[in-house]
Amino acid sequence: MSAEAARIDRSRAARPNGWWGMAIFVATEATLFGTLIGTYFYLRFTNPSWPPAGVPEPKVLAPLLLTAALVATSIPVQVAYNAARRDRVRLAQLALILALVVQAAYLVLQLRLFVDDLHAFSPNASSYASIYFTLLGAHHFHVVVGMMLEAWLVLRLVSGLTRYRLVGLQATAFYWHFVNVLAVVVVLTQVSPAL
Amino acid sequence: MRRAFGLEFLQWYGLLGAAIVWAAQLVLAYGLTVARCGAGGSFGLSLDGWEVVLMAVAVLLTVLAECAAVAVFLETRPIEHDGPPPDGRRHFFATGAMVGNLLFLTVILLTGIGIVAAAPCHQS
Repeated sequence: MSAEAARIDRSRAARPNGWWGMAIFVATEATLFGTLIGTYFYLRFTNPSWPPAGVPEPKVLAPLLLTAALVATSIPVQVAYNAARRDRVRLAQLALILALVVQAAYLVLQLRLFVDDLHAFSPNASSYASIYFTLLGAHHFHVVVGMMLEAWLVLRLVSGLTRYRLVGLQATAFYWHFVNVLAVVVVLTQVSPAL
Repeated sequence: MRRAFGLEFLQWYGLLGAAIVWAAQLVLAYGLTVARCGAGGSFGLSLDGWEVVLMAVAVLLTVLAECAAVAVFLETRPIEHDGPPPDGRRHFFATGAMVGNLLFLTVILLTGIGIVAAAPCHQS
C-alpha cells in the first residue's frame, strides 16, 4: 500500500485537489496577514511616535534568531515529504519529529517573550500595542496549527502511507513553507522600529 | 476543445473573480475617499454617487462569478470532489467558489453601504 501510494504520487501529472485546497487557504491567510501588516504600517505612519512613549522598543536579536531557527525547519519538513514520496516512511516520521522539536522550542521561547511584553505594556494601551500583539498572536497561532498538522501526520504514518496521507503531507509542507515566509515578514515588521 | 476552454475560464473566474473584485473595490473606494477628503479638495466628485456605482458594478461581477461557479458545478456534477483532474479539480473549485462568492458578495455590500452610510472625512 505504501509503495503503491508513493508510486502513484510520483507519477502524477497534475497537483492533487488537497494541494489546491491548501493553496486557496494560504491565499486567504496571506490576505489576513496583508491587512494586519498594512494596518501596522498605516498606524505607524499616522502616529508621531512609534512605539509610543512609555513602551519599550522591540527586542531585535532574540526574535531574529528564533525566526532563523523556525525557517530552518522547512528543510526537515520538505525532507519528510520527499522521503514519503520514495516510500521511506520512517525517515519521513523522523524528519517531522525533528521539525516538531525545533518548532516547539521556538514556540515556548516566543511565548515567553510574548508574556514578557504583556507585562511591559497592555494590548489596549495604544494602537501600537494593539496591532503588535494581534500580529504576533496571529502568527504564533499559525505555528501551532502547523505543528498540530505535523503531529497528526506523524501519528498517521505509524500505520503506513496512503495516497490520502501523502497528499496531506504535501499540503502540510506547503503550509509550513508559507508560515515561514510569514515569519520573516512578521519579524521584520516587529523589529522595524528598532532598526 | 471549446468546452474545455470555456470550463477552464469559468472555473478560474468563478474561483477568483469575486476576490479580485472585492480587492479592487477596496482600493478604488479608498482612492475615492482620499480624493474627496484630501487636502486637494473634492475634484467635484460626489462620493456617495461614485461609491454606489462602484458597489453596483462589484455586485454585478460577483453575481456573475457565482453564476460561473454554479455552471461549472452543474457541468461537473457526476465527478466527485477528489476526482481526477481536470474535472475533479473544477468540481472542487466550483464547490468552494459557490460558498466563497456569497461571502464576498456580503463583504462588498457591507463595504459599499458602510462608506455611503458613514459620514466621510473624519476619524471614526
